[in-house]
Amino acid sequence: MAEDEPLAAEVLQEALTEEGFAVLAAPDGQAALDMAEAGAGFDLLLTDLRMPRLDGQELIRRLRARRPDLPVVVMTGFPPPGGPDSLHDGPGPLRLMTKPIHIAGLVATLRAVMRGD
Amino acid sequence: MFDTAALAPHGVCLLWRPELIWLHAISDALTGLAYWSIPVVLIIIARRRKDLIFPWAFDLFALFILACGLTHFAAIWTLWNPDYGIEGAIKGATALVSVATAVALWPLLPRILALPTHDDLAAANAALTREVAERRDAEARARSSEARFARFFQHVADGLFVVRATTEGFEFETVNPRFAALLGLPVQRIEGARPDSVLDPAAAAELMLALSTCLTSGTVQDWESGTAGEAPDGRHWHTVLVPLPPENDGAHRLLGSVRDISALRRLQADLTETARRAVIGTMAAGVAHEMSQPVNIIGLWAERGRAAMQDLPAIVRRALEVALDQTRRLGTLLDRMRDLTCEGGNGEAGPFDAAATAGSAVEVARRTWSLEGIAVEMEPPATGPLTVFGRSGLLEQAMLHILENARDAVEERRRRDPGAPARIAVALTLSPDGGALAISVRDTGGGVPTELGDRIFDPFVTTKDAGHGCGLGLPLAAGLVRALGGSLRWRNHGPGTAEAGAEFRIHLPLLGAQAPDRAA
Repeated sequence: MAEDEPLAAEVLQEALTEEGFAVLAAPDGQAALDMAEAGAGFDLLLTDLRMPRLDGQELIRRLRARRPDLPVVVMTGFPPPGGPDSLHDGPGPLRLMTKPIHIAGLVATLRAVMRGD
Repeated sequence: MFDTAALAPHGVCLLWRPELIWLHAISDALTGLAYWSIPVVLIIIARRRKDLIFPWAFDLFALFILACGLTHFAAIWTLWNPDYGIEGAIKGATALVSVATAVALWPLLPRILALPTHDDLAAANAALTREVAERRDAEARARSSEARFARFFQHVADGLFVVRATTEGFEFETVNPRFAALLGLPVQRIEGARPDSVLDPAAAAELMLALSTCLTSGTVQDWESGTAGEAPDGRHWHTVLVPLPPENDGAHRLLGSVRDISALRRLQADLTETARRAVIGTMAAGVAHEMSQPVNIIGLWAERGRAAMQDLPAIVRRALEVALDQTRRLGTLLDRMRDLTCEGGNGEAGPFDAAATAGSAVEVARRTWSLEGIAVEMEPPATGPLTVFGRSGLLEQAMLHILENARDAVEERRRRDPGAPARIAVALTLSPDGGALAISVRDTGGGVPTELGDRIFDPFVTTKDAGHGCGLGLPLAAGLVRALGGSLRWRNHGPGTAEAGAEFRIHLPLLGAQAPDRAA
């Protein structure tokens, strides 16, 4: 999970862990990329779009360069003008959720994406 | 004196020698005949040439030469007859005529010398010929210039008119076809008419004031006029008045030109509006992004808090639910603010039937609000498909925003006056030239303060009670309609009646039809 707002990251990590997810939290895109390159295992990328150092769109591009089918869920305060299609960089599933996020809705979306719905 | 008894003929002096007698007789005869023929020529010239300067001098010469000739005949006579008295009398008469001629001739000398010579006359003649040619040339040039001006007047792109100032006021003397077309009247109807009989009262008053100023000050008048804020129907004019130099009849005339600058003004207004919308959009996007972060955090923590503890005190549970509800409300608002900047939307652009799309939006509204007792009606269009180019979803969204706005107005009026009618009527009409479609949405919500004008399409401008709408529906609708190449306007209808309300009109260009402004 790449999220630069510590208060949002904190509550999301707690809630998702409680729902049975193992969450690796990164404070920005670059940190998330570093973790992936260091060999961290993960099944899904949950990311914000606007972040310092490396933004969400670039993070998706770089991770999908190695794992084209990586499932992605994007949380954003301002969706890109081109819609979710403009973020696609591979055949894997991608969902776009606009802030404010509801935990129940996010959990349902994460499960659906992991199931491949 | 005339007694010849003692006299001998002249031949005696010549001793009757025949050679002398005949030499004298023949010489005198020839000289006399020659002398007598000259006056005939002179008299013929004097009679035939009426332009002679001194005809009496010719007569005098003729008489003088005639007399001289006679003396020679007398000399022949006296060769054989000694009538020297008669011959002397003839000589005396000749002397009188000769002296008279000589006396008359001398004073004529300077005047004859002063007469123009043939060269003088030729030069004068040539000068005259040149002048005649120059005048003909100038006339031809004037005629050609007048023809050029007439063609220019008839075919120039601007409306031109000549107004004559009379004691009764002003009247159109001449107008060109373009001016007549701008007024929508035939040329014959305007020529000879007073401005107030062919123009609307406001335009006539404005023109007559300018005509008076132009006439009294003698200065060029140049102004713009038009109906403000009424586009796309509004017309704007640029008029110039010029005083003309007075003509032979002494009447004062003014030349006017009128240019239709409606399209230019509309373009300027559209550009200004587009720039303004862009600024508003950028601001809304920035605000939405910055607000979404704290709203997100509040919502997440409230939801997390409520889920984590099942046995919270009632007041804390209530507090978390209120916080969650309000973040949802803020979320809806943020969604709409984000929509303000993405006018393009998704989906494929193409031709679609505007009547069908409007119909489906009306159907959604009708079903949703029938339970609330609000009637949503649509008159089916009289004609076949009304094809518009763009994304049909944009029109459907715009219609829904406008219908929702109408619903809010109707509901608000019912809160104050429970007996008020609750009806929303949708109608589709074609522009007179068939080039554009107007979709009208009329409600019975009592209407909107007219002073709001087009600010009603600005974000967050609302007349609704607090908590009943955020004031983003109409700006969104206006943005969506603009993305389809159309415009959204509004006005109140039926003020003071039970049916009073607002009418919103979506104007859309129809596919395949010529744009109305370019038709002219």
